Amino acid sequence: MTEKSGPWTDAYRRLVKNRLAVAGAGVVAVVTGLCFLLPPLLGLDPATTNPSIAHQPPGAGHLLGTDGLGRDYLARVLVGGQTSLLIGFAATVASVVVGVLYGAVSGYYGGRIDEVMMRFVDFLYGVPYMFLVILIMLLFSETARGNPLPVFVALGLVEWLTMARVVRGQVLTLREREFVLAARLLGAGDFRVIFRHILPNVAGIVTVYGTLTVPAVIILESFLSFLGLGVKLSWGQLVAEAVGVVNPIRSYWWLLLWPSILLATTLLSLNFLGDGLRDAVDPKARR
Amino acid sequence: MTDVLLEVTNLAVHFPAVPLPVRAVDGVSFRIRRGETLALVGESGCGKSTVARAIMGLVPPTTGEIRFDGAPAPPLGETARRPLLSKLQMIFQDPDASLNPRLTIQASIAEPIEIREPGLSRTERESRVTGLMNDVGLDPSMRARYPHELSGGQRQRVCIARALAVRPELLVCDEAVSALDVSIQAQILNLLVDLRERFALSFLFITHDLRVVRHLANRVAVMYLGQIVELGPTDALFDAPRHPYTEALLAAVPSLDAARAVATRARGDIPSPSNPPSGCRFHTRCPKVFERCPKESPELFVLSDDRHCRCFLAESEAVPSVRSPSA
Amino acid sequence: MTGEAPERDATPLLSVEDLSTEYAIDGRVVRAVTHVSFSIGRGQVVGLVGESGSGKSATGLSILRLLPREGRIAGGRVLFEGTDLAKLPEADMRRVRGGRIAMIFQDPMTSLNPYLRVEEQLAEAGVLHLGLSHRKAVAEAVALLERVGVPDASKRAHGYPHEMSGGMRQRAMIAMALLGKPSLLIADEPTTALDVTIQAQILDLLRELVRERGLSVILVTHDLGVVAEIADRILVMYAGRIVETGSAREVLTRPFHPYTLSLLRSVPRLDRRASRLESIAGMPPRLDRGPFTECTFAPRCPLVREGCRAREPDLAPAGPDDRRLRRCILAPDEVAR
Repeated sequence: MTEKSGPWTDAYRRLVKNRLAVAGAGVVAVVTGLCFLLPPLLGLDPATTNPSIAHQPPGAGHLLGTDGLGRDYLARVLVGGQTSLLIGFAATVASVVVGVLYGAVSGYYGGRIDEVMMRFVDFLYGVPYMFLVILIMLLFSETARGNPLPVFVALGLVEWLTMARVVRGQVLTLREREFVLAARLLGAGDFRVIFRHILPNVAGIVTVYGTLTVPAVIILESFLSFLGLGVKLSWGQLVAEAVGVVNPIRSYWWLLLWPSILLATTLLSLNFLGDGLRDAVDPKARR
Repeated sequence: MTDVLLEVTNLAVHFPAVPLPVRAVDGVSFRIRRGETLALVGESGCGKSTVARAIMGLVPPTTGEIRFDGAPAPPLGETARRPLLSKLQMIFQDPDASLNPRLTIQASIAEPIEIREPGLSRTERESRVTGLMNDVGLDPSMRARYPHELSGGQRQRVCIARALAVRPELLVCDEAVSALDVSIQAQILNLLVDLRERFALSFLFITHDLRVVRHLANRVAVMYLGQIVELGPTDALFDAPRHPYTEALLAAVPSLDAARAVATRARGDIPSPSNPPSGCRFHTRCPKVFERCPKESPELFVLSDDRHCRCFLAESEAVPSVRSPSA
Repeated sequence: MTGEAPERDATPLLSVEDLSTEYAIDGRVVRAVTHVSFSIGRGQVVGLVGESGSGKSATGLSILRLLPREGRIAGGRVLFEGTDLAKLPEADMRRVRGGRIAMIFQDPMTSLNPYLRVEEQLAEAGVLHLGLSHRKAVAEAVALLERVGVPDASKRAHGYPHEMSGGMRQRAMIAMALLGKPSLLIADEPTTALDVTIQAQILDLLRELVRERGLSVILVTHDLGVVAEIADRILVMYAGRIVETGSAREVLTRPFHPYTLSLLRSVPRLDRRASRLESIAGMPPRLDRGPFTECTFAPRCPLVREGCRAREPDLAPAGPDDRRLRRCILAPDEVAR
């Protein structure tokens, strides 16, 4: 009566008690804010080259130094972050939408439909990831190289599979729960059952897996960049470039350090947040 | 509007399994008249829950027929089932699992109303729900709460209110009070008796607790391994059981007053429904077993006084009849 | 049972004195057991009866110090054969558990390790508590399984728990408990999950074992019928307190506490149909709000008076028999109505 207590508010309360998760959320928020707000605010320019000031260590004028072409590294790291984060979140959203719908339909209808749908998922799982990506890259013309779209498609294609499997499993269980049976006996049609009864009870696990998908996507993208298949400017790309200029004579430590720190910190924070969400949402934790 | 509300004839439900199918229900027949309460009693593996689910259309029968108010009752999913959804409702055993944890009490109870009368305004719906909550003894101010904030007994009341919203004629209660504490159980049983009178409901009450049966039911059907082994009016059956299994069940109910009837104890464990014993299925545990029992299966003999018994010991009293399935 | 308490030994086997147990949940302290005292002699069966939240299970777990992480004994003594179990170091406690005092639980499925053969688990008690060699312990285990009525005992022992039915598993649990030759068995809802005919068999078995071995049993249950069948004495618990004690027959036929009376009246009877079951309105009180300033049952009591709200009554004798106690200010005949 005094405090509202719904399944979401309870989960929220549990979440905020988890310091690591809250810290993680905070860090992600700060990093995202910096990447998106600082460049326009400070008028940072990641693209203008100036060979005369190439490879400058951090100092006045260039807080994080400059790269091989004299571009301001602070600008590049922040704008690169925009891309990494954007790809991470966008690909995740796409994989969630596709995965949830696919898994819900497969799990709810069961039988032959489920078998066929899941065989397809199994098949896609079996295809080597790199093979897929290269295939997609080849499908797009040369001019699209470095463009985020093909990368985005490739990443989305892989991540929805896990989500579909997870959701299908949950739906299979939920489908037999008494409250779902009761709804059907009361006259609820499939649409209502899926959207009002099953999906809201799947939302918890979807949130958790979704949050954990973001870092997975960011890492995949970084990996692609390392192989030279990534986008023009992202953290992964910066790391790849930095590694490319490693030599025994001069160390350009700042080129590797800044993107690595940001990448690692963001990934860790997202993982803490995801773990915290899982603990908060897990019904077994509910007494 | 016939007198017989529900008629089940030779119902069998077999679930495919390896190596042998599970014969959960194997030839069950009975009738429920309008206003009657029939209790279906038995222990694990007897098939009583499967009978309930088959009646509700949740499980398709392997063979046999289910008729409601004269018309066939197809499984859920077929369009012919739609009109029956308002006539038959079910209360489940686990009040935890019977309510969507993400919906408020108001939303859960209002759902059937929303489905049937989508044109109603929010206030009209709310007042309907208020009426239903009052009917089941719930404080309407609790409508905004979520299931986990309510006790087991309260949750079960919500389920009853939800079922009543469609104005059913037959309520199937599948161990509806088994998960509740004794004093709460009494509250819910009293409520069911009240509602039965107020709304002229018929009940199919499924339970393993014979004490509840005595209190609530007009007639009792005792099930064992997929078959009905005894059927008759409650008082008569309790005071003078004819089937050794019924005797064993009654004697096994622990109480201060129960006679020390160790001689009627059923021996050993309950066999599996995928591999029932030969002949009379109870013969492996029966304290009165004799040589005919493992060899032949007794039919459900009709006895002279509206009683049925599936035991050779009762055969001599049997009224010769065409394969009439039920009273 | 006869309902007559056997002659009291000079020293009872177990004497619980003023036991209090708390759980720390979500920052609150829940007093699950408050000032509970009782004793049990050799060969006696004591029934601890109550509904959920009454503290009966917590009492049983406290005796063997098997409380979960968030629970702890907040006060009192648990004297067993002269030693206070509440203060015993954990290493010594482990020697008691499964040895001198054994416990069986409601769900045999989770009490038996599905990955170990039945004989392995049972033999463990023999090796740990009786110092037997593994081979001898297994032989003991098979013998006990036979004794508790498991058919084909050696074959069953060599198999796994999932190959046994619920009733058989519970028998195996009893055998496992008996292997350490305990003098006291704590049974927490041992038959609740079983079918009625199997329940009857298990109760018969327990009764025989009590007779044969002079085993003492604390039976924790919500089922009044079960205590009627097997207990010599009954302790009725409500809100973490004992509200009534006495011989089984006395408490069940002439209760002295309104809660016991209401409970008895809410159970439907097998021998005749009641027109209406008496139910107890409301719900049990919360136990995380500190000490009570009134009788814990007062808000729900059909016989409540002024004095009930003044303070919590003591558990006191109702008459000359100092083992017939009740926590109520009403006189016995007022309760019997």
